[in-house]
Amino acid sequence: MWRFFQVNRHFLILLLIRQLTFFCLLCLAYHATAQDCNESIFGVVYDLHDNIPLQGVTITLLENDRKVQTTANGTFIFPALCQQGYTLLLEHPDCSPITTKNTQPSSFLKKFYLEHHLNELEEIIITDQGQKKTTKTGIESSLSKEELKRFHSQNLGDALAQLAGVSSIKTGNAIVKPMVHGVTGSRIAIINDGIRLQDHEWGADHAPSIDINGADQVQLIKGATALQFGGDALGGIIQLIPQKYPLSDSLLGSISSGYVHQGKGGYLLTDITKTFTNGTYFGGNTSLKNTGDLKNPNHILSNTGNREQHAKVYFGRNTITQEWRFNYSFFQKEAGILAAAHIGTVGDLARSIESTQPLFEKPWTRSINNPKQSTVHHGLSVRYDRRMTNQAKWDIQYSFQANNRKEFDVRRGEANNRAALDIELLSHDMLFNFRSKQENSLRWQSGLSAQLQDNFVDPNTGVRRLIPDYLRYKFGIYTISEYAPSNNFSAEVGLRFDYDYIDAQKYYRIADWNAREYNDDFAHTIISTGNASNYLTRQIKKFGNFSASAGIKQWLGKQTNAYLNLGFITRSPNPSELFSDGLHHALATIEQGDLRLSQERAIKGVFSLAKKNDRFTYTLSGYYSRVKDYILLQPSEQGFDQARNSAFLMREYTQLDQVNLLGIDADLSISFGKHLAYQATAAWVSAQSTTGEPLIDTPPLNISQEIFFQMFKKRPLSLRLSSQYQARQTQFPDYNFSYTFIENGVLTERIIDISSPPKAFHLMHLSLETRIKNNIEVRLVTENIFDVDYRNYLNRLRYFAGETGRNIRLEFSYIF
Amino acid sequence: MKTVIYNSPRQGFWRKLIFAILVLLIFNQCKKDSPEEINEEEVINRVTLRVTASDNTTTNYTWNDGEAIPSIGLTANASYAVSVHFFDASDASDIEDITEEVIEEADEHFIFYEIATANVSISPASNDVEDNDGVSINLKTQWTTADASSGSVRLYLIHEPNNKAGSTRGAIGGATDVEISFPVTVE
Repeated sequence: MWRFFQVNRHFLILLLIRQLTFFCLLCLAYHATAQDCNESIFGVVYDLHDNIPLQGVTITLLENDRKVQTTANGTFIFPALCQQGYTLLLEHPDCSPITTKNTQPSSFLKKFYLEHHLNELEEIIITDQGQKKTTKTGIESSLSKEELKRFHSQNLGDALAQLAGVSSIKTGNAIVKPMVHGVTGSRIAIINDGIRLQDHEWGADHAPSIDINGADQVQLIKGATALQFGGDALGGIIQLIPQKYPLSDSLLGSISSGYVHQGKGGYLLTDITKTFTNGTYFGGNTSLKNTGDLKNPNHILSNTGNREQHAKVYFGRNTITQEWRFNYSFFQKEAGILAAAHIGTVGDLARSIESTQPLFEKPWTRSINNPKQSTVHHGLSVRYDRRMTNQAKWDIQYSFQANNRKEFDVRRGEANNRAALDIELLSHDMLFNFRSKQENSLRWQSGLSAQLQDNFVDPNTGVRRLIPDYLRYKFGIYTISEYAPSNNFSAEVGLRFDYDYIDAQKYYRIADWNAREYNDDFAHTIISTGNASNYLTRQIKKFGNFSASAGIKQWLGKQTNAYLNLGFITRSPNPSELFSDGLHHALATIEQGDLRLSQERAIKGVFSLAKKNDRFTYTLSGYYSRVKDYILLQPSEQGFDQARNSAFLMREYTQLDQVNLLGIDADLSISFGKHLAYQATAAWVSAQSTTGEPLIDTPPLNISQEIFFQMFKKRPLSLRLSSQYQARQTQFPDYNFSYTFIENGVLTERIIDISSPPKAFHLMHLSLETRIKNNIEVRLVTENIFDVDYRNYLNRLRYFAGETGRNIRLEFSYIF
Repeated sequence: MKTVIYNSPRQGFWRKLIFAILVLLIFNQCKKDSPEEINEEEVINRVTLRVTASDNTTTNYTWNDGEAIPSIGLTANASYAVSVHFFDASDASDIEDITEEVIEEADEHFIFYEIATANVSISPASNDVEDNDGVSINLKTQWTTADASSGSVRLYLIHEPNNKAGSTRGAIGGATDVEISFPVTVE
């Protein structure tokens, strides 16, 4: 009797919730009394892929051929069954039918999952990947796996530069940092597998330790919209998204191998994943790259060899309602720094600039000598995602990153084999996100983040620490609400607060300490006096950063949407801006941080129009941002380090009262059927302080165009001809200095022009791609076809040598 | 009776959140040791020119990093033996002579002089240090003066020069470790 009551109570609740008809209730009552069999099977059918309840699923009870259909909520019920095993057949027009054997009636809700037909599922996964947006109202663009294939031998920065609004700031050829909307470093966030990369904030010549071959999709979110990743990314967010695997029994993978004519290099990439129908998957990828000295059309770029090793392993299980994933990645890179850029004094810099040829050139070699950089990155993350039946989702993730950077200088004797800089940065991150969908039109997302960083600098280098030892704690909390009452309009509002605590211990040269009058404000931070010329100090910095964003998207008709985003961003100075203290050999520059730096506060507005149809797609965005207390590295008042006999240029981190950034990005693509397409992107930005002084390293106008043409029906050959134009930057600050040469026995003082940007350049690239035997792809790429000798304003080594000349690459990929 | 299935993840979530907080508390326990003071090496912050006249009187002209560069006084129409010495004087109690390292790595080093307006000519001394190719590296030089004049002598210590035969600083290449202009008066 008790059991009977229980069963019925459950029925009632469920029936009410699931809005079944009163008629069924009557049937139930009838069957329950007319027969001895009063058990039932009731359940809900979900789409296996996206966990949405499926309506219109026909369920047949094979034992007595009774049929029901699921309601709008995906629920169904077979009442009045006997206590025995039943066979259920679930059928839906879009799905593979499933049969369940020996299903026992019970008082519990049963969940069933239907899988879309395999090919459709693949399609969903693919389109989902391609179109999945991180923000509702933000302007996003991305590079798919297919597009990333063309950058197998290159860097993340090179690949991203294809997207409108992204440029690369380089130190030579192997060290490439992405720049978004004219800013870089801490002002953009690079998110790999959900975790923010920490190692590229140390300075302009510190590129992110990341291999693009490990990513399935690279997504760019412009502006300050995606607050879940951080509240300080004025430029935007770059997200590397791993692949989602189908729930099928398969083995996916590829092996690619290529030869690069520049640097006589080669690379080998492998990628393999095993998936199972139960959602379990495991796999890994590796990449090896090795190149020697690169060549300019007129000279050898000595010591520009590069070695990279990357490996990643992952395993996890995706059962649609929940997923866990373990990930470990390793990245190692050794990059030679152009030998001609190793200069000792300002005089050397002056001579390099006056010379058209590099001052140091040796016969071609594969070996890498000092100066060089060697970086090692270990990343480990564990993530758990859970979808709840009420359409809510949450995930929790822990990650550990160990980043080691060693820089080797040309030194005397034993010391030459010892790093001149050796930083070890350990970061622990813990993230928690919760997403819910209240009704169809309202969603919200909230989360917490915590981070601990431990930076250690090896004292055995025999060189002053560029960045001191420190501990840094960060805590963040955010919430984002989305409101989308119809397909025509959506709005988004986000808030975020971060607390940033830095505890550093740093030695200051007493002469520097006094010169900066630190005793006035920081006398209490002195712990002790070192070997008479240094103070050991403890610097504790606390910042509370508040950020907010708001955005709307409005459908204008004719396949066009308008987007408006507003963001308020607070960014606290990072340790390199606060504490930098050291010599940068490549530019004969001493960089010094400033303890007095305060937070940067910015507002940014982005307005965009986007149209998309099969033939014609364009996105046009304009942005304006106004940054208060903008932190930048500027020449100090004297321009030289007087204490060091003018041998080095002096740069200090300072704050400008206000900086205005204004820019336009555009991309356009026109498709003339399957075999012919045209694509173009353009970007322009202006960055000025309120006193009218332009900011250094602002990307000049650049325009890229591409024609895609496919011929031969049977075995298609794709041809891609692209043109890349970069104008001369006309807005630049004057950082020139004067130097006295001795020429023919006479002192001659001349202004050394380190400020004027190089000339505009135009490059053409051609790529050919075909398939042999269905699973072998062949790619032949020629970059800089006409072997143009040019210099790039955004390459910090442009004073010392030109850019690389023509490069030909041949690649074979075997896909299975 | 069993509990309803879809309540259970919530418990998992709290368990995990508590775990997360615990992990962070553990991290909070780490305390950093005071950083070791770095003993800066290979800094050349003292250069001495030892100028010996033909009567064997020796004068030392020493420049220290951050101080004014001393002026060299020479007699007209005379000859001097000059040797140059490089030091790391960061630690006053342990001054390191870097000249020895320069001699050890004579192949990778070269000293170059440029003269502006002063009537001085400089050539390698016969007892100068030579590299493996037999090229004098100008650690020891012979200075010959002509008529009274004044100007400057600029000394460069060059690391990894491209071409020691070069006649200008630019032609020699390499990186400059030390560059000092000594004012010179020939009377």
